[in-house]
Amino acid sequence: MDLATILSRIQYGVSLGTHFIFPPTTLGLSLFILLAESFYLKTKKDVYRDLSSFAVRILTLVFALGVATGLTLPVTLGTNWAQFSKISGSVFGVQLAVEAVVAFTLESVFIGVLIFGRKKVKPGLYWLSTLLVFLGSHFSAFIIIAANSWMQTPAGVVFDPTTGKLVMDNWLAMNFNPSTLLRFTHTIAASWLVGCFLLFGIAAWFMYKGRETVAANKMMSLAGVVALVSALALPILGHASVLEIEKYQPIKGAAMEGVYKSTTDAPLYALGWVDEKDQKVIGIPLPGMLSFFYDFSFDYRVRGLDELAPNPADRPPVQSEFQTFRLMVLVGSILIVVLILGLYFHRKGTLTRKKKSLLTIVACIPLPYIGVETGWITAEIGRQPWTIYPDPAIGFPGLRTADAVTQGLNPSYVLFSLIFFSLVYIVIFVVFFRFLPTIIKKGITPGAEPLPEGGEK
Amino acid sequence: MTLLAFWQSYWFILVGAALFIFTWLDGFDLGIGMMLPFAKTPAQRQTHLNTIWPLWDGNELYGLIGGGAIFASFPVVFAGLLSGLYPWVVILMVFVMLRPVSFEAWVHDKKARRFWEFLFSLSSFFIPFVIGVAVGSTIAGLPYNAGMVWDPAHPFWEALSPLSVLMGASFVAVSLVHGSAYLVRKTTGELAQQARSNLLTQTVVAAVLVLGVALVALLGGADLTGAPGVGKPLAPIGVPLALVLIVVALAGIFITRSREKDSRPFVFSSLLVGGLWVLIGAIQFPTMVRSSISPDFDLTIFKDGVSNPIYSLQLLGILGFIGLAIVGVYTVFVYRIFKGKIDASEMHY
Repeated sequence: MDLATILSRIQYGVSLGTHFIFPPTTLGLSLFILLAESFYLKTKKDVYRDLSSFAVRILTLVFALGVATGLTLPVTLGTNWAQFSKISGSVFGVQLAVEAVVAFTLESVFIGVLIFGRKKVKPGLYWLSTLLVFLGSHFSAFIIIAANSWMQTPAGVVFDPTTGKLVMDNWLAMNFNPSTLLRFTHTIAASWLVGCFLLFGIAAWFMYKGRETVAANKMMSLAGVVALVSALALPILGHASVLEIEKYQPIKGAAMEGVYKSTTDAPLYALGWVDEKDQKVIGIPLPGMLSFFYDFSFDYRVRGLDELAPNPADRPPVQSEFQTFRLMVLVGSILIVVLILGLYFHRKGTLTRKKKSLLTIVACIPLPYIGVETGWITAEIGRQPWTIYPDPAIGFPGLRTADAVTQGLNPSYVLFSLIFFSLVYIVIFVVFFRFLPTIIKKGITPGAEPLPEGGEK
Repeated sequence: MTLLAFWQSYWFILVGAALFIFTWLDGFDLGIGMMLPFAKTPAQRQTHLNTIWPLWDGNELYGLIGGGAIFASFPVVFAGLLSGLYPWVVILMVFVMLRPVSFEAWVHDKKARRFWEFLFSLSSFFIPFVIGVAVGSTIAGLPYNAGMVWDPAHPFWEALSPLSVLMGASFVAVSLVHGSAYLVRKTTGELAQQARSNLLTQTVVAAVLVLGVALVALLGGADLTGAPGVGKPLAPIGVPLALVLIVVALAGIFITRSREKDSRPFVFSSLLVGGLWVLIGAIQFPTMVRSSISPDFDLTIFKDGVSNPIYSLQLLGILGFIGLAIVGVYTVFVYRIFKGKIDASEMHY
């Protein structure tokens, strides 16, 4: 792999990794805002309106940074991944255009109403705007995840061997390719967990500080319940995803579990270390459990990398797959425990007195982000060495990442863009970590706290 | 004309329309952004931002739609142009990212507002300038070879030519005119007065630059003969039409700027943006990127392999049209919520 390709991969990884902090937060917040606003419309209790407005203030910052980091992504498909863009243009071009016109515009125009329209529009119309922001952001997520899933499990296209291009002939089949629905629901559940756990954690912080008693209590219940339901859905959807991967991308599946040799009665390693040289996993095996997980039968023969991808050049990095997958599962499990205990003591009414537990919840705020990032890394590193997976059914031999990059790309250009983009991302992180606390510290209920001068926006 | 050629032409016009809407809507907030640090008092700067606050995010999206339209219809142009203009695109994207970031930071960081205003202004300048240079360079010609990619033997600064630099400057000047016209429409008192007097200077500068673009293009900066058998079918009608639109717009701004009918300058500045894009489209059609190596290597929309196959063009041609119509309806609706004069009061929920 040449230098330009390596640098381009680092750049895309850094860009998408930075971006992927914000949209999941947006998705979770948009659901919370819709729920809070629905309760407000029904009960007319001010606390729901205040919670909704508080979440909108956070959403404003998160959405702006999400847009800023998101705009470079399709552009770098053109600058760095020109071959990919040419080969998949009839799919990706259409998909990104539909996303821009149908979903993203809806979301951003009505976020404007959420931010500035509280006093200018009637409550019913304001509620409708929260619904449209919810729908817009989720539709946007669907289109993008469908496109990404298409790279994993291509469908709805024919392969033209003379030009080397994939030509779309069925838009719906492309969107609903074999992995879209599971990957979409899995990602959405994770996003709801991200956004709502953030609010759950903020509520714990207010309780720790003894501020905003009424509003923080409500926020903890509402956000906590949504986060818990999402967190409980994740292992179910995740397991279904694993089965789908085993069927359509078995090499990725084998790498995630560190299976080198095909075997029945395959063990599952809860934790471990992959010895890539000797091609084995060192760790605590649960005998036969992997076979059992795949087929409810210890006799199920799990195919290993030796059989699936005899050539090591056709394998993704096994250690990375094995560890990021486990980290994601670990983080999800911790969050389920934290949410169950937190909600239990909250319901009993004793949580406000447990200062250490409250601080633990606050300290867990980064965990959902680690979960979505490691999940994303597992999915995309596991796709390697392919950018678009092979599809023998249409005679498509696959597009290797090394062939997807712009031909004759000057590595010094990529270094230049990598440095400048990274500097901007640092600014973005600084802005996010400096001003998210500013928004939180201003409190939930307007006028309840001594606001710093003006208290604008 | 074959059905494929029809859809290819349709998409050429749709791409142009999306880029026009982008420069028309985002144009005024870019212009206002550039002028932000030059407003005298904090209250005036707050008013500046209040005029564009709820709208600029949605406006910027039309740039995304324009780019998406090129990718969806002519992926080879999308990939070829972005990878060819790599360093320029990086500069553009750095400022595209810094603009919303400086906006958000401005809201929360009261101590460093002058700095964030400066950064917002700088971003608002570079975005139209680099886009203008890129558009100008596709007219003046770029070193595209037989493989429809930028020839590696040619350095990146070949994008700079008298025409492309003039075009970049024109985009900046037109954005300023458009921004001032919007301020005249949305503000009152001293600020509107200031905007009116800015409008005079800016219109003179824009007139010189835009007519300069037309002059340089017609005197040989652009290729007006076109590909054999196709030529430049829109040029004979489009170029005179564009010149009439531009002259009417410039004259209109001059005449209406001093009157009390405050929204008229904005109508004429919109006409100016439209005229500029009619000029660009008329000079270019059916070429997307002119090759400076040989006319045979021009990226024209009818060339084999440049456009997407008919299924994609047709599907999105219809879906996109319906989608944009719906977007248009609700955008107008949201604009109406925020209509009327704007003052310096802080914007609460």
